[in-house]
Amino acid sequence: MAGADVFAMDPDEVRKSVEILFEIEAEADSQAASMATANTEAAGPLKDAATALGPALEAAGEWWRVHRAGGFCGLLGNTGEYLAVCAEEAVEVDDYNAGTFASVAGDLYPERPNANASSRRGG
Amino acid sequence: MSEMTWEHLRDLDCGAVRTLGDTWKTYIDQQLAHTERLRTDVIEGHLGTEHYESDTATQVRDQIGMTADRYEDDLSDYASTRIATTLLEAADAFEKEQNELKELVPLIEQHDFDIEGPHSEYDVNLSGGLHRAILTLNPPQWLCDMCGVKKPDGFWDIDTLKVLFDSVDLYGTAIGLAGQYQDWLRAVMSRAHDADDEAAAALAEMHENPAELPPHLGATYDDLVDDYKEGVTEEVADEAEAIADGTSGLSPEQVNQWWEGLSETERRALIDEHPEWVGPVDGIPTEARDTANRTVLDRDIDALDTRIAAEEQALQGLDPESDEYQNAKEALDGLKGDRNDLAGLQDRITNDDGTPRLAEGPEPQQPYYLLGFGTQDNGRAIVSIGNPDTADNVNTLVPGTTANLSGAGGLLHRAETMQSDAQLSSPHTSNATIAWLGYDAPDTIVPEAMQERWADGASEDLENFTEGLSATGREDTNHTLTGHSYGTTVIGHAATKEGVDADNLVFVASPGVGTDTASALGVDEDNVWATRNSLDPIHLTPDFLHGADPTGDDFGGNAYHSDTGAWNANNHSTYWDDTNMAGRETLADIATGQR
Repeated sequence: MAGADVFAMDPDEVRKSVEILFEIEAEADSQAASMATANTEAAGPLKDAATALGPALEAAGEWWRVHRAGGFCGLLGNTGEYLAVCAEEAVEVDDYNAGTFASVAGDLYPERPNANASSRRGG
Repeated sequence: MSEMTWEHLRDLDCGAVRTLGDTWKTYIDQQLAHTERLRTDVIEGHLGTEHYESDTATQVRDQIGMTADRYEDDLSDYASTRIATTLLEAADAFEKEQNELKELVPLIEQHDFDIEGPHSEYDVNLSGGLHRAILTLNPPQWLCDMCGVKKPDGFWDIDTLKVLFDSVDLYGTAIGLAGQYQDWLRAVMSRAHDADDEAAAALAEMHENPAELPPHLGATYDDLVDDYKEGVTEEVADEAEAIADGTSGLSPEQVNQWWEGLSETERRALIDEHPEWVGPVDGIPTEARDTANRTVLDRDIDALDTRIAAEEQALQGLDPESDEYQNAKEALDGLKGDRNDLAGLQDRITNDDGTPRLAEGPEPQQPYYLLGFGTQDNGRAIVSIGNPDTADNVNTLVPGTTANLSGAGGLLHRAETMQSDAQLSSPHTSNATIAWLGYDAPDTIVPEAMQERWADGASEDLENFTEGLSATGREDTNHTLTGHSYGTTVIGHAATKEGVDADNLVFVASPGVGTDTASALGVDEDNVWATRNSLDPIHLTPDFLHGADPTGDDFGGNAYHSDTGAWNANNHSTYWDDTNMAGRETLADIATGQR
């Protein structure tokens, strides 16, 4: 842990946190996708009926999925990846980037593709 | 922009829209379980201080906490208030108008009328078959019944000749009925389009200025997170400002949900620091609006005093014969007029010690609540006697021509009379009566009160006001909307074009309400009431100005009796006098749900 300000850390507990963060990220992502699909399906007949609500609803569902639920998932993923690195080697918050996760902890989480990890906003 | 046709509306699956709204609610609960888990299992569990302790650890826990907070705010502000509520409100509004169509369209078809024209303005006309039937002296039975003639049996007999003689009347009757159905259909579609456009706007505005997300952990995080935290503290004020200036797209129900979602500290801060964003907003509870409006009223009077003193000072340096002096003098007189009007309103509703005054009337006397005011145009004043959020019965009075802030005292006097009458009629219920001068009323009978534009200008505000009362009040409250004179026209236009949230509509001394039929008003015909005393000159108003007389038999709804005042009194304005106890008692019975 040289170079970091960590005074006490139980790597196993941190890894458990990482698992929960990744789990919620995946669930929230999948639930948002289902919600967006339900939205699009309901928006169809409304669009066919020439309502103003139909297109607005479809756009709102997609906006929610990408920007708000997506933003939440992105934050969970980013924090989880940071903690995954922390459990292996000390790294300051400001020094962290997605590449660090790929090189340090990526092998422990093979289901998280490096390409995906490195494309994360802010990573 | 809504381009829904009547056929679209008829066939729309409102249940599917409502189900989607409910699905969003379920989804929100699902997501809240995630944030709960983040707090209990991560922040206070595996990542608790006994397992992970340092400055960085604190920073990471804060980051996860901020992520959960942000998502919960998003779920509340966007997923719930914006999306789910919009869907549920739209489903209700569409279904209400769809039910009207289910009643109306069969009537149109049964009477052999055709619906023609664009979705923006349908016509209901006599079909070719009906034209031919009348021209060939073979009118349908329903038309003969309406005109009181016997249907000819096909031979040239006395009945045939009578039909020939009455053919103009037959045509007029058929056209009149078609016109009523046309008014009804246009009103249904206007309200449906309005609900559709409002729903779309609420969703579209959501992503115009979305709240920032917390920054990701990484380079420059420390700076970014400071900016984020600063933004969060300003977020509520930004939302309040957008709601107050009307750019948020939120309905009063959604505003209410937003308000209820704020912490007590946030609400207090808004009332203290930005009362001008709280006082006028429909959907914010009455107590908060009253407190905020009274603060702004004090502030406005003080500001006018300062400006008047400055203008008087400036006037002293000008040549009294100069144009500049005259202009400055006029401006000064205007400021003094505004100051006097506001001070008059303040005196009326406030005790000497600054506490809200109780209105005159039977026990228990009710305090005044200031729900809105302004000096623009001829002024605005919205004052409730009694708290509409807790009352069993709420009656809102909309005044007519020449109503203005200077005359708010007279308007309040009528509201006090209505409140007293309601208390006497129903002493065991809580009642509130509101004087709603929330629009720019016509100044003159000719030409202004002959025009529709004042009513059209008021429609959306009256719609929002009634929806705000429903949002902040109890679910079972009996809401009545009472208009006097041109105020009835205002109510009629709002009810047919935008829709109003009211159980009963009462038209007192109406010049017409912008439609020829009670069916078009979006309120059960049995709960539409009209009265006019026999000496009121308003009966001279021709139908082509604002539509048929709502006390007439053909209009539908109910007419009730009002007594006249003295023969030489202005009998257009005697409805609240003691000479008209019959009319006042009926109004009180309607407003308290006893008729």
